[in-house]
Amino acid sequence: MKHGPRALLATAACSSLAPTASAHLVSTELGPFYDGAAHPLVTPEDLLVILALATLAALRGAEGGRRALVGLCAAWTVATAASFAWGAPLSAPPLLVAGLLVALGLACAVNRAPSPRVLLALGIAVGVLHGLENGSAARAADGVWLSTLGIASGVFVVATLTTACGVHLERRGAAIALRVAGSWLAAIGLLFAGWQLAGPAG
Amino acid sequence: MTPRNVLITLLVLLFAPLARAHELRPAYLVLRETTENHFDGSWKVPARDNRRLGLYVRLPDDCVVVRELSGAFVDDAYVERWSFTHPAGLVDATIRIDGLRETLTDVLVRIERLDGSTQVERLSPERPEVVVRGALTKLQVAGTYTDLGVRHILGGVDHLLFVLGLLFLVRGRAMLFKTITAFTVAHSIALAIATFGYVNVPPALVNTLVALSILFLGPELVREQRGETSLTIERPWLVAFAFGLLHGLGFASGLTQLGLPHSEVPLALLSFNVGVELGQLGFVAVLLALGVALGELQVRFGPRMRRLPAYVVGSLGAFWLCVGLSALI
Repeated sequence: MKHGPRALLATAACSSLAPTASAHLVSTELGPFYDGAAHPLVTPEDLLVILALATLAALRGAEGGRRALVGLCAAWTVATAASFAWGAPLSAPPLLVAGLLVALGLACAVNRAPSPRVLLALGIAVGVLHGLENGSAARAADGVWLSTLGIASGVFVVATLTTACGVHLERRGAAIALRVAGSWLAAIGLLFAGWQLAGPAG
Repeated sequence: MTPRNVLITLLVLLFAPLARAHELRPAYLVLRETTENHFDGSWKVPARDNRRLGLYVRLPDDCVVVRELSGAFVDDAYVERWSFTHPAGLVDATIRIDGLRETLTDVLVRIERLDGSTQVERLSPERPEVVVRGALTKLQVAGTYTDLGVRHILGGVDHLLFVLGLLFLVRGRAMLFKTITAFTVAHSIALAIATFGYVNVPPALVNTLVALSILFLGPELVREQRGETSLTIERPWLVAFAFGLLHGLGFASGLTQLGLPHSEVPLALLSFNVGVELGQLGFVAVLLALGVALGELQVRFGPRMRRLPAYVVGSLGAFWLCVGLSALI
């Protein structure tokens, strides 16, 4: 094996941290569409990463927000559909999810928003990562296509409203509020990472 | 109609069966205490063409059936009646509906006691059993019907699609307020009139007319985008009021099929209507917020994208109209 020690360490860390996919949709008792739509709202990992990306993209104004929104929603929908069509449980390592949240939050806190093109790529990356996991959740529900449509709608609504709020604040010269929000999101990401590294209590 | 528009219409029709037009037909269980610890039961299950849903009441094990089941198909339902006794008057006993988990139907359970108190519960595939408690307050009964109203409107894709069509048709806040108010007032009036039994229209006919109202909005939306005008475009509140009466009959068919006793109809009607309004306002609020947000993000839609809602509304309306007509014939 010609890989260096760093690559071996990274592979070992990812393998040990990859969990078994056991996610499922919350029941709203309103049917599969609403179960799917509520999923990003009641799943902290999904909600926080959407907020982090929306906050970061808002620092780049309307264009940045639009690009991130398109990438996120399209990739999330396609990845969710692909994941449940694939059939095998797919799940991102929790440490990677937490790391992404920390990175997005920190970039926002230090006011280092990337270009709109990079934001589009970031949106796609986040969408694929979380969409794959959501597909596993949709598979466990009744009416998978309606659940998938619900998840896509939920992500679209949350991402659009938060990005627009951020852009509105940025336009009103209140970008500091976005940076504060970014620092909080980074702190929450660090807590997530800490919990993952500490393992289950007891 | 360009080939692209034909394609959009065909795609919408292809996926139309996913969006089931709404028909609220819950099962209904009434347990009435006639003498101490002695109950008469009535179990009404939705049916069609002499085939009933596979839902069965499972009473607590310590119940003793004193009169055998008798069942018959009545209109669009299968009704069973029986009598039984329970040593504790059913208090703290669990009543379960077998087969409910495998359906999308709700079950309303109503327990009437000798002292005049009632317990009303809504069971669902996720919650197929109820524990019988002591007397419930009117507030709890109202809560159940408000909940049912919210669920009815949020689960009714046809009603929501009509509201969506109106939102795309209306220009200006004042006109939007006027139109939504007209729709609300109209369906509230129709709901009250139909629930009190002054008007009785078969649910299949109501569903077909509701589909027709949705189909009607499709061409009007296209006309509005072309810059043309019509009575609907100039006075959308008038159309909202007229078709709101039809939608109200649709809401009422759901409520009246529950077979509620007259003593509780006003409270049930009011609570159900409040629930419908809350659900409708929530839907409108989310759509308006999205509209403002997309404006803030300076999203510009091309002419083809702007036409999409019109074709979605019109195509689904046409699909449900065909389904409704086939059911009538």
